[in-house]
Amino acid sequence: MGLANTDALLADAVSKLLGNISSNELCLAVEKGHWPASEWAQVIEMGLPMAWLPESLGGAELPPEEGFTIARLSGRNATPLPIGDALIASAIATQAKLKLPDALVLFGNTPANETLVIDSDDTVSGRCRVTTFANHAEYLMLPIQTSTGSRVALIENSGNRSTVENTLAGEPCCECIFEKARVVTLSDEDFSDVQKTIEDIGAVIRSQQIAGASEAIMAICVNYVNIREQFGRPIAKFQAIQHHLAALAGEVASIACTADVASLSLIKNNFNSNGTDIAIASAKVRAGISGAKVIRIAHQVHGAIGFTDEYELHRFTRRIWSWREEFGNEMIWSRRLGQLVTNSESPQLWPLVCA
Amino acid sequence: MKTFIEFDAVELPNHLHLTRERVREFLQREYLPNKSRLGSGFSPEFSRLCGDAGYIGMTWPKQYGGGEKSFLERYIVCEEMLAAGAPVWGHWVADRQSGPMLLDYASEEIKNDLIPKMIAGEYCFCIGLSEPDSGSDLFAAKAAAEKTSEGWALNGTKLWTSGARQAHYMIALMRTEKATEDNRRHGLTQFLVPMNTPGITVRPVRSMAGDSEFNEVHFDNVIIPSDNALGEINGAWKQASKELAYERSGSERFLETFSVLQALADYVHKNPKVHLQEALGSLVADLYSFRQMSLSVAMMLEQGKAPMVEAALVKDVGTLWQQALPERVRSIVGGESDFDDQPELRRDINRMLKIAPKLTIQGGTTEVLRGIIARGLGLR
Ligand SMILES: Cc1cc2nc3c(=O)[nH]c(=O)nc-3n(C[C@H](O)[C@H](O)[C@H](O)COP(=O)(O)OP(=O)(O)OC[C@H]3O[C@@H](n4cnc5c(N)ncnc54)[C@H](O)[C@@H]3O)c2cc1C
Repeated sequence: MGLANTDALLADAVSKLLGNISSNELCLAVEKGHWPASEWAQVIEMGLPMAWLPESLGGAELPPEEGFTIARLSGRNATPLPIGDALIASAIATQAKLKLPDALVLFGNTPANETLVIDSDDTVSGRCRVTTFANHAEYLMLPIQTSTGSRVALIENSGNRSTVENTLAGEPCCECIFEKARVVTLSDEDFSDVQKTIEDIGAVIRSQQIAGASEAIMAICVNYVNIREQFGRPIAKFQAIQHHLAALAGEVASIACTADVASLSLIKNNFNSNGTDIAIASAKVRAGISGAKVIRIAHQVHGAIGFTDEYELHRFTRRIWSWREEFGNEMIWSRRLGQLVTNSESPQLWPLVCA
Repeated sequence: MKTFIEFDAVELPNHLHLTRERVREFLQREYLPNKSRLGSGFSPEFSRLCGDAGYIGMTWPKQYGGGEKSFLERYIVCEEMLAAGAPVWGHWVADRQSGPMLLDYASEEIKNDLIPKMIAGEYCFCIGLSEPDSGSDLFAAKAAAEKTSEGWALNGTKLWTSGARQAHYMIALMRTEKATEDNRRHGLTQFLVPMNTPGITVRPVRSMAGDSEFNEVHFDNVIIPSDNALGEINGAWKQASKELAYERSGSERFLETFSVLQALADYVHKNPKVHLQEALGSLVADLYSFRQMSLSVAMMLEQGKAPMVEAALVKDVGTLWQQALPERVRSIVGGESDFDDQPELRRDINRMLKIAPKLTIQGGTTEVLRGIIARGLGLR
């Protein structure tokens, strides 16, 4: 991919692992409620979700680019595991200086107008939303209000949950309701913009995952049109098909390039999103808009086979549909970007675009 | 077979921010106060100012007066000029592709003679590829060059030649031999043609946008020196890829209608409704993406690559977008109750609507670009 400083050896190893464990069968099993525990154990063993966390906090402390590469590769393989989400949690833990256990830790967002507080017996009660797989998370990270400011807490995820519903990707999603859940650790410093930080990092991670899935879709398409024959020749030889795939390549390249730019921009700003807003917004808008175009073309050139659950295209398609909604869809990020432009004193576009 | 087309994310080195600042100061000083006099098309006066400031031939060797700067630095200068709507077309072709072409293929004498004046902004170049019967299919070119005792004799017609009336030189693609059975690309050669050579007639062709940017150029026994053949005789097709990468990947491939987006931003600034902000933001995100891709190709050029497929991709997505821009802005503001009270915005939209049709034709049509990309993907 287009990020400098990524270690080719590591990327190869990650590709290999994710390629091995991410099958269409596994995706279909997950959709029926299976939790791929042994596959997750391998991912944990390689330290992938903890890429960003310093060693002192139990992480792998890889160069920051690697976390984004891992996200991209998880998209390229449509891995039915919460790798992206665990990465986001580890990014927050790094900023909050929270030590994480070797387990599935996910971040939970509280609904607007609700806040969580710690009770006198060091427990929390309330609810939160987690993108996916919360029913399998051993721990949750939560924004907590204390008398001295905002904190991030790690709690045991022992509560009961409202009904688990599958996302478009076929991955489980639910609201977590916890009653007197034990607080394992609490961050020391104030972290009042944690919600924005989550949304920003989450948007870039999702853009990378959509980029990866789009790249995979392109490879699937190129391969398919070269082997599928109609009218006595491979359909790749029809100009209409060539033009479809050329257009597809443009969409894929724009998603991937913008996701990489946003990633670099976050890294450069130490994951504090000030000054990276246009890059992040553009990445998520691009992923949403171009992702839909990628999907349309890919299914068109496949004919009926692409519409089956046996053929692998759908698991990429459906993940793009799911990921584009999470951490702000393209409408929400467009609006933020429009407001960024027009809320300033003078709405000069150009300096902003090349800032 | 390429299944991932890679556009590396480019982080501009810090010193280039200074370059950007200086171009902006230059435009503030030399262009903005004289905007109405200088216009936004050809301006010999502005081209010379650019030459004086070192903004032409920035990447070329110092030996000929060039700046030996990086492609990225040149990229920044170009995009600032275009975003400001400056009248760059007098030196644009020379700077973008004719200069690099001469540096690669012209004789030392020609280089010493021409390059310094090109750098000074004194020479305007035009591109003679298309003909009445040879558009997308360049290898069908018929205008011919024949070797004579005096040099080369040119006969035939070039069509759609932008800037031919203003140009001092044309770089022309001429037939020097028949194509062969097994290579239909064989038989074309590029020539440096002084436009004041006797036998050349230029007839302006009016466009639907109301200008006469392009022309028909007739060659009637035009004699040019032997030395003016550029590169391999009959082998022009081998020299095209770098030139096309220069021509296709620049910021003119998404900035030509930019002013209408700024006009929209100004409008939304005064009418901060949420649905307008959302529509504006979506277009700004598009622009951000295409600029980053274009910048990435500039980086590839800097690294000495000839990114044909990537350049075709940038031009494909960029030109479709800039073409659609006036329509999209119109659909965003057209239903607002105060649209009738926005004469300037309407004028901007109308002006850009009128140039929009050409944007996906000049420099290679959408369909031709997609053919190139498909080939890069291993489909042809
Ligand atoms: C404003 C403007 C400025 C220009 N300036 C210059 C200049 O300075 N110098 C110069 O040399 N030329 C110039 N051109 C010409 C330009 O390069 C040609 O117009 C262009 O290459 C297309 O050729 P054509 O117009 O003959 O169209 P055609 O090639 O006849 O194409 C007509 C249609 O058929 C399609 N088509 C053609 N072949 C195929 C194929 N194999 N597969 C699928 N579809 C196909 C095209 O995409 C297009 O949609 C200019 C054009 C414009 C509009």
